Amino acid sequence: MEAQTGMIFTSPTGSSYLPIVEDFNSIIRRPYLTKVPQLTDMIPESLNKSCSLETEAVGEVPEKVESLYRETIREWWIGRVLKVYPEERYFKAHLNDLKGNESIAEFNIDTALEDSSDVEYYLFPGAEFAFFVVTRHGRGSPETISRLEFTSPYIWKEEDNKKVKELYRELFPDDTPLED
Amino acid sequence: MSIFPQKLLTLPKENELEISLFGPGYGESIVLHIPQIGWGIIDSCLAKTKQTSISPPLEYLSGLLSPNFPKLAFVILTHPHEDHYRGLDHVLREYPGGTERVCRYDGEGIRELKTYIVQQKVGGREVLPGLVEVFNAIKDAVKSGAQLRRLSEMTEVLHLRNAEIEKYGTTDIRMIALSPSAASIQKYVEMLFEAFPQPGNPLLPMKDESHNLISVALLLKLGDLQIVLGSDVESGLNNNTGWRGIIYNRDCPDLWANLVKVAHHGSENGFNSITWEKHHQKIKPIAIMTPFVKGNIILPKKQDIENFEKVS
Repeated sequence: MEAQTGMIFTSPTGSSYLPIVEDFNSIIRRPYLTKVPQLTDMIPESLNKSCSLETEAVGEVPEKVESLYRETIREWWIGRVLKVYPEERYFKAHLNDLKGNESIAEFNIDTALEDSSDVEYYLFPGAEFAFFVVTRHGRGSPETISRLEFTSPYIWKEEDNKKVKELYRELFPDDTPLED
Repeated sequence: MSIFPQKLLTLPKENELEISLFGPGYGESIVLHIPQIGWGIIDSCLAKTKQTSISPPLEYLSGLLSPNFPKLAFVILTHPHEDHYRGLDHVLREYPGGTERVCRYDGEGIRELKTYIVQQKVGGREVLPGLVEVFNAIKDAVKSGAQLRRLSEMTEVLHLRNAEIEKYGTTDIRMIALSPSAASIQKYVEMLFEAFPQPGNPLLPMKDESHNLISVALLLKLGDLQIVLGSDVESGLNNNTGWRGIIYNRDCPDLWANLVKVAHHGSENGFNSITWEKHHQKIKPIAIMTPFVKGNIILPKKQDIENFEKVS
């Protein structure tokens, strides 16, 4: 089954893996923070031309675009950041796999986050992420790589203040309600 | 049927002081029996059994006191950390004898703390899970007749003058809160406000250790006995906060102690050497502590224990 990113999710043990993978996809929010493979040089010339901004008319798009690489997820974990050590440039995280096994791991901050200014938004105790080990099949020999994808922080909206007042009243009914 | 062995479930005598410390790995709770005062609980935790989770202080007292449950003289919540408040709502709601006095830090910033919890919930993140239930259980206990006492530095939890204790004589019994200081409270409130989100900006949680700023350390004086219960008070950001704030407070009584419940699970940041000099100026105190095991964070470390062995 082909997912929206062009990756192919397969399970070493069979298709029963897929519903969970799809479910998992739904909980990961954009933007991905890890390095996305640079595909520019791998896209066929004809397709490149058809997508060029300088070309007004879109050229003929092939009915089927052959994947030039695919990734097979070998293993993945849901991670939760336990503690961040910004000076030492690493963080500790709690990992859970599909079988319910739990483990603790340490990750290098600079490897996990592409942009160091993202640290305060994404790296805090309790932050969740997915940690994959994938095999990439493309040109040449298959390559095994690991990747972290963090969930985006919640962006506060004006209307959330109203929700806070309502929920506060619900949770603490005896308190004086929050003011505007 | 209690999970505690029957040999542990022996009632102390009327004139005996008993201090039971529970630390199932994640969590801390103290059950006290004070002559002429009665039973009290400081903080709560949950311990997993094969079938369910139990609150050790509640389980202990249920096994010990059944079927004649006296009113608890006090229940204290030292600070809003999950490993200190989990199960306190069960204690307040399920202990059959009821509670005479509930004590906690309830001053400036509590409303902001509640707002912070709600904001994080709106953003889909649960911080301080179960604390709302504890707050509401405290409120319900107060509605049922318990007295609410707000704690901060130099406030009294209890004070019994001229208590007659068999074979001991007449003495005052007093328990006071040593913290949080005004400066710690101010810093805590500032941190809460910093965590309040503005539209268009990300919702971020505050650092978990921030809640230690309002941690309540306690001093129990009974005749010529002194007990210091350190909660999760940290060494201090400056001379006005944490242990430094306690010892540099002019009003602070002598902190020599017969027994010290080590602060913050024996961690390095809970150890303040000057405070410990004060603890053992008269006698080397007995030091007791609970472990903290979460993920691969394990407290105390070997080095921490060695440090405490030198001073206790």
